[in-house]
Amino acid sequence: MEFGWSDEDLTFRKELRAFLASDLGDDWSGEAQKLGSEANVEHSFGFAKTLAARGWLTPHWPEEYGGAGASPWQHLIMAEEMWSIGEPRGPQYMNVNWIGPSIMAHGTEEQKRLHLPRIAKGDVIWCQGFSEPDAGSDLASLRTRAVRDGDDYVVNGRKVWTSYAASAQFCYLLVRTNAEAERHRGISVLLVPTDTDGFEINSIPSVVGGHAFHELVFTDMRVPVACRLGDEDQGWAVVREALAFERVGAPRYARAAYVLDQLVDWADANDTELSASLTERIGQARASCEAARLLAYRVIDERCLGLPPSPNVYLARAAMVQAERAVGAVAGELMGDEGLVYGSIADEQLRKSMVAGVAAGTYEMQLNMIAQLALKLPRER
Amino acid sequence: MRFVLDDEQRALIDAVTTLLDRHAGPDRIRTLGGVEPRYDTELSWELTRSGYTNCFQSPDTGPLEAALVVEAVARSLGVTSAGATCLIAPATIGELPDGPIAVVRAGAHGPARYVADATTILVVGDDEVRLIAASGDGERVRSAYGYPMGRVGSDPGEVVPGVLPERATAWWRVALAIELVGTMTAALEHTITYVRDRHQFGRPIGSFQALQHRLAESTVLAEGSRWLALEAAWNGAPTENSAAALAHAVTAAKRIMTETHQLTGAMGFTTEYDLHLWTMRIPALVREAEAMTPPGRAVAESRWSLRSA
Repeated sequence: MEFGWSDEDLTFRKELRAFLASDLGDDWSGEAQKLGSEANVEHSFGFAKTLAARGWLTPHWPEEYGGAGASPWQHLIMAEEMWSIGEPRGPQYMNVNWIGPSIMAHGTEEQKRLHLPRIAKGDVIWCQGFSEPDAGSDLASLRTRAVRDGDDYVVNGRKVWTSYAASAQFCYLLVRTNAEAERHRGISVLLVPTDTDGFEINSIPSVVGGHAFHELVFTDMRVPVACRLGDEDQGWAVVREALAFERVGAPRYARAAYVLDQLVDWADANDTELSASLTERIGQARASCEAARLLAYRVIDERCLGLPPSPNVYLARAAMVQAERAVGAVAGELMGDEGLVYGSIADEQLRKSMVAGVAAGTYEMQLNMIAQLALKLPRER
Repeated sequence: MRFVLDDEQRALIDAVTTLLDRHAGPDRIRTLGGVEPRYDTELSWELTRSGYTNCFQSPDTGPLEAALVVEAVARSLGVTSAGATCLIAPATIGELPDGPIAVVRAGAHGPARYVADATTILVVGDDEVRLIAASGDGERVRSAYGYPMGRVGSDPGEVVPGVLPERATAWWRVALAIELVGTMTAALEHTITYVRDRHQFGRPIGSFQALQHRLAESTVLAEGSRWLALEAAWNGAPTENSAAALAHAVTAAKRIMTETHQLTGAMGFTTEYDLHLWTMRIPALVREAEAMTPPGRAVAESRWSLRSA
């Protein structure tokens, strides 16, 4: 056990920070930092290309797919540095973290040739078609149906809460290919261009960001069988593997800590007097961010050791939610009335902390997994 | 960065645990008086004799290993001044004095852990650290919070030259954080076993999601606290990290005290059942933590120079 960084990792972080200071662009502020906004997607597109040109969009990918074979720690450092300034890669982080690697692991040669170079160059945006109106936390009950017809699947159904769909060119789509099989066993993954006939995208207005969510409606959408990722009916295993790392791939603690720094700067600039009690909770919120950081690091270490995914990933994810909420709770109090102003730091953080416990698997699902897998408590009947 | 013990660390912790299994634990603390225990001279001597109190300065080990020893002693309900002996004293006064060591704030007159038994009392002030060479038979205070308590006498002691109070405070926070971690984790594990075994309504009460989530959240808090404390020790107790470790540990311990007793029901209040041996120590540790600048405020002061009104 030790907690030091290697010289390579220290150098990597230093170079990355210098690069961000010079190449992030002046337009990374205000509207551009709002999840799913047009300015956000537009900035991320440009920035992803800049990163790709520097070899830093997919540094952790194997060299044969356009990566630099960087270590899991450098992958984490990259994610931390990005999230600690608000994640300027926007939707690209999903591509590089798990959609690309999932295609590497399960894709055909043709799928790899088609998708991986485009992801590595930052030329494409993906969305993920997972949740449905009746399949949220219970994802395996999904009902979007894909029926084989010759060399095509005919897809009918609905997906909801899909981020970035309006800007995406492709969708990583979970469908039911076998209605007879036990529910986890009849699912497949399709890699679908969003301009396919019968693929309809509608915005879902919400309080967490104007363009954050979409509904996807599939009406007799024909998708070639060649677009299926992995074997038919084996999609559940494919997606579980892909998402095992995703729970720490988005280090939300880094952004929460960044927001806390911004809040204190705001208080300073506005001569806001803070009570002893609030100051105590601001410090505790910082400690929550730090705790989440270390629980995420433990998961990265397990990856470095080549261990299979462990329940520790759920602890890390739950700790990130706690950290986001702790920062959200002090933000409103610190800014007082000014926190009600649209787009203020507290306003933004409130909305982000509302999403934190729902996106990428609810907080309660993480707690269930901790109870069952780490604490070995019996399942509720 | 490595989160698992290496072979030497594993051997050290296994050996310490074996020693503690023999010389500490619920049965042992009961013979010493339960929640009003006497100082455990025998355990203290065994730990010293085996060299485990010297990890901080030994060439093959360091503060991280010292913190792991303190954690193990706390888990096993050891009634020795392990936090002060293994971490605070070596980080400040260097050469370890024989006998129990207590650490108190300058000007504090309330009951403090190990003060009556201590032959060395470190007094941490705003501008200096003083050392009182004590008799080991000071004024005792009756208190049922799992540690022998006493009050500091009138001897002002001697200034320890070259020791910054901020450093002593930072190591004190690390020591308290890891003691809290060992204590609350043992209480939590005890409760998890209980809810697995306890049947009501024809099934283990641990199968109810209403209980599972509270134990899962408590686990997230306890484990986060543990890594914060160990990282702070490894890095030499940086001011902000030490305060963050303690702030998180205090939050976690308060929650775990409430949850473990609630989930164990009335059985948890009885002296026949072990849970109270850990939980009743938590308020004493929390009080010690909050009597300094409260740890969350200390984080804010260190990180942002934030001083509240």
